[in-house]
Amino acid sequence: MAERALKGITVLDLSEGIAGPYCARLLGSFGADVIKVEKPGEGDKTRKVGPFPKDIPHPEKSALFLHLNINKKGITLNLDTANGRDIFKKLLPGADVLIESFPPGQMQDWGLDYPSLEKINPRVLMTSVTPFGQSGPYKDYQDSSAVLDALAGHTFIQGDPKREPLRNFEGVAEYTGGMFATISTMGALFWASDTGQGQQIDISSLQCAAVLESSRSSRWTHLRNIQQRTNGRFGGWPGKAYRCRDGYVALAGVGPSGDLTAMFSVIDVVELLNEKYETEDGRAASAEELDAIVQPWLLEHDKYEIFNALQKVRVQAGVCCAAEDLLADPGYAARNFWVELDHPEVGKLKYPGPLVLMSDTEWQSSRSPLLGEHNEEIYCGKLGYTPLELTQFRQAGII
Amino acid sequence: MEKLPLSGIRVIACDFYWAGPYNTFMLANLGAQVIKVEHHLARGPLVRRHELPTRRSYPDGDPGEAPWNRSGYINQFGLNKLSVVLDLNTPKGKDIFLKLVKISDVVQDNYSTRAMINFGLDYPAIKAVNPKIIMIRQPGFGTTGPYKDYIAGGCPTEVHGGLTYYMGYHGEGPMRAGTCLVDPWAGLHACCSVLAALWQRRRTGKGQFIDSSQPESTTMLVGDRVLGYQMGTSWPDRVGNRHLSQAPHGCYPCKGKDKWIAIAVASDEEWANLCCVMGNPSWTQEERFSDQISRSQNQDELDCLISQWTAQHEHVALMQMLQNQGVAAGAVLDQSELMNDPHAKDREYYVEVEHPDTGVRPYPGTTWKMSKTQRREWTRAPLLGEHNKYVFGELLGMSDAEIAQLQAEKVISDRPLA
Repeated sequence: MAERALKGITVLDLSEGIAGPYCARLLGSFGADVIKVEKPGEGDKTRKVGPFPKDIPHPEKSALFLHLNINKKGITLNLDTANGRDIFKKLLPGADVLIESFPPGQMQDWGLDYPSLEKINPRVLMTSVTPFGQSGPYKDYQDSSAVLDALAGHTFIQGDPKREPLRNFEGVAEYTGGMFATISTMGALFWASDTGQGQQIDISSLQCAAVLESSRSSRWTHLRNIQQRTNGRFGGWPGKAYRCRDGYVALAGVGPSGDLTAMFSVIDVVELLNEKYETEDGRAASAEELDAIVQPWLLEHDKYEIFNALQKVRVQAGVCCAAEDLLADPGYAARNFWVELDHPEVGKLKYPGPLVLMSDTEWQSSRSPLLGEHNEEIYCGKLGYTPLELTQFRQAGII
Repeated sequence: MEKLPLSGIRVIACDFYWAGPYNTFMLANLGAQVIKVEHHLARGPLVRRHELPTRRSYPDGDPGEAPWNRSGYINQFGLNKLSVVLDLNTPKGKDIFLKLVKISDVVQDNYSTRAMINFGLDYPAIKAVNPKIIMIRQPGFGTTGPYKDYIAGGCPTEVHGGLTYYMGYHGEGPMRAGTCLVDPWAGLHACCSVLAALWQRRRTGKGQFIDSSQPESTTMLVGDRVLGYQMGTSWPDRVGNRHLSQAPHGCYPCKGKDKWIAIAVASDEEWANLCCVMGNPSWTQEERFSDQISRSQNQDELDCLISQWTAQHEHVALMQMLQNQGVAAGAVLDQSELMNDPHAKDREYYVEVEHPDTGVRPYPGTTWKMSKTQRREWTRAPLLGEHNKYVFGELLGMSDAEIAQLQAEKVISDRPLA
C-alpha cells in the first residue's frame, strides 16, 4: 500500500523566493508536513511575481508562488518583533527541519542562529539556502538570476558567438540551489536519525548552478580548451532546435548506427547521402549544409509527427514543448503527470505532479496556502493560543 | 571511518552519460558505496562511436593507450565510485549480478527500457532475490507510456520538458541551453526519490520500484509558465537577457575580447546606485529613464548607453565596483575564470583529485556544507573494471581461479573487448 515517504517529518519553511520554497515543496511532495511561515501583510516576495490571471497582479494569484508552494500550510509571523521570535521558538520543538533564506547574519541578529536553536531542539536541521552561501567574498552581493548564471559559467557558453551571450530561463540557478538543499537535507535526516544530532546545512545556489555547467569544465581542466558558444547547437550535428510547420522540434544525434541512412530515409533524401557525412567530425564540418537538407522537410511536417517518426528509427528527437504542448502531451498524460488542484482564488488549474512513479510511495499534491490561512489551526490548535490572543497578535503586527 | 548519512548502503549503478551517474554520484557523496557495473563497451567503442567532440577531454587531447580511463568528462562522474565489468548478456553474468543484488540496497540503471527486461533483470527478477531492494530505472522517457522505448538524452529531455521553448534572445526563436543541464537536474530528482524510498524502508522494511522519466523534471523549471498559460497571461515566450519587469537588465560588453557583464536593476533605488557608479552622466536624468516602466519602454537606447560605459571597464573589476554600490552585477565567467573565482575557492567548490592516467585535476562539485557531517573524502574515478577482484572476490567470495575463468570466458574484463 502506498505510503507517505516522509510521514511524520515536520518542516518549517521560513524561506522566500525560489530556492528554499522549492526545497520545501519537494519535501512536501514526498510526504513531509510543511508549514510555510510568511511575514504578515506582504508575505513571500514571490507573491508579487507573475504571471497573473489576465496579467493583473494579485498576491494570492501569482503563478510562480502557486507552483512553488503547493503541499504547504501557511501561517504569518513577524520575526522582526521579539514576541514573534518567542512564538517561533515555541514552534521549533515540533519541527524536524527548518528552511531559511535570509541574508547571512540575519538569523544571528535575531538570536535565532543554529547554536541558539540547537539548545531548544538538538535534533533540528537548519537548512540555510542563499544565492551565495553563508561565507565567501560574494556572500553579501546583490543577487539576481542573471547574475548567478553569469558567475556560474552558464551565460558564457550559451547563445550566438557573434553577439552577447544568453542567460538561462529565469530562476534556473535558484531552482538548483533548492534541489541541492533537498538532497542534503534528506541526507542529514538519515544522519540525525542515527546520531540524535541536528546541524546546519549551508547551500550556495551559485555553486549548485555551476555544477550544471560542469561537463564543460573538464575541457579546461584536461584540454586547456575553452568551450565557446555555438548558437544553440549542442553536441555536434544536428544538435539544435528547428522550425517546423506548427512550431519547433529539436534533433540530436543520428541514431545508433552512427550514420545518416535511417534519418535520411525518413526525410526522403537518401540520394543526398555523402561519405563526408559519415563521421561526427564530418557532419560537424558540414553542419549548415545538412541543416539546409533537412529544413524543407521539417517545415512541411508537424512537430509530433516529426518526433514520432524520427524516434521510431531511434534518432533522438523532441518537440520544443510550449505550455499548451506540455498539457496535451500524450506521454505526460499516460503517466498522470498533471494534477488538477482547486484554489479559492484562481480556481482549478493543472500543476506539475509526480516527477517519479514509485510503486510504494504516494506523491503528494495539495494546493498552496492563502496568506495566513492556517494561523488558527497552528497557533490555536498546536500551540494552544486562544482566538483572543491571536486577535491581539494581529493588531500588534506579530502575526 | 567517519559516519556519513548513507554509510553502510550499497548501490549497484548501471550508469552512463550524466543523468544516471549524477544520481549515483550524489548517493556516493552522502556516503554510500557505489559499484558501477559497466558493460565492457561502456567506455570504449560504444561510447567512442557516439563520442562527440565535447566528450573527448583527454589530457592534452591525447587518448593514450587506454582512452576509456582518460576521459575527463567520464571520469568526473565516476568520482567516489568503484567499477566492475560484467557482461549481462551471459547467464553467468546475470547470475553474478543477482548475487550482487542480494547484498545491495539500491539498483540503478539508465539503460533503455528494454535493456534490463532483455537481460532478465527487471524489477520482478531483482525483487525475487532481494525484497528489500530499491530499484530505480531512468530510461529517457520512463518505463511506461507511449514513449517508453524512445531515447531521451539531454536534447529531448530539455526540449520535451518545455525549457527550450522559453529560452532564446528577446523576440527570437527558441535556443537550446549551452550545456545539458537538464541531465544532472533529472539525476538530482531521481536521487531524491531514492532517498525517500530508503527513508521509508527504515520504517517499513520494504523496498520498491521507482520509474523516473527525465522530461518531467525539466517541466518543474517552467511550472510558472504552464500555470500562466492556463491563466491567460500575455507574457512573451522569450525575453533573452531582458526581464519582464526590470530595466536595465541585460548582458553588456566589457573591455577585451568576448568579455561581458550581467547587470540587473530591480528598483529605482538600484537605478540611482547604478547612475552613481557611472558618474551620474546627464543622460541618466532624462524623463524617459526616470522609472521602471519608462526604462522598460526605452530599453534599446538604455542598453546602448550603458554598453558604451561598460565597454571601458574590465568585467570582474566592474562587477566589484557595482556590487559595492548595491547593484546586482555578475561578470560572465568562462571555464578558466571559474577555476580562479575567489568565491568558488572559499566555498571549496573544486576538489583536487589525482588519477593514475590523467594526473591531478580539479573537479567541481562541493555543493553543500554541513556543520557536523564531514564531507566525504573524494576518491578518484575507477579504472574500467578496477574493482573486479574486490567485488567478486571479497564481497562475493569467489576464488582467484573462478575469477580467472570468468575473465577467460569474457564474462568479466578490465578493458573493452572490441
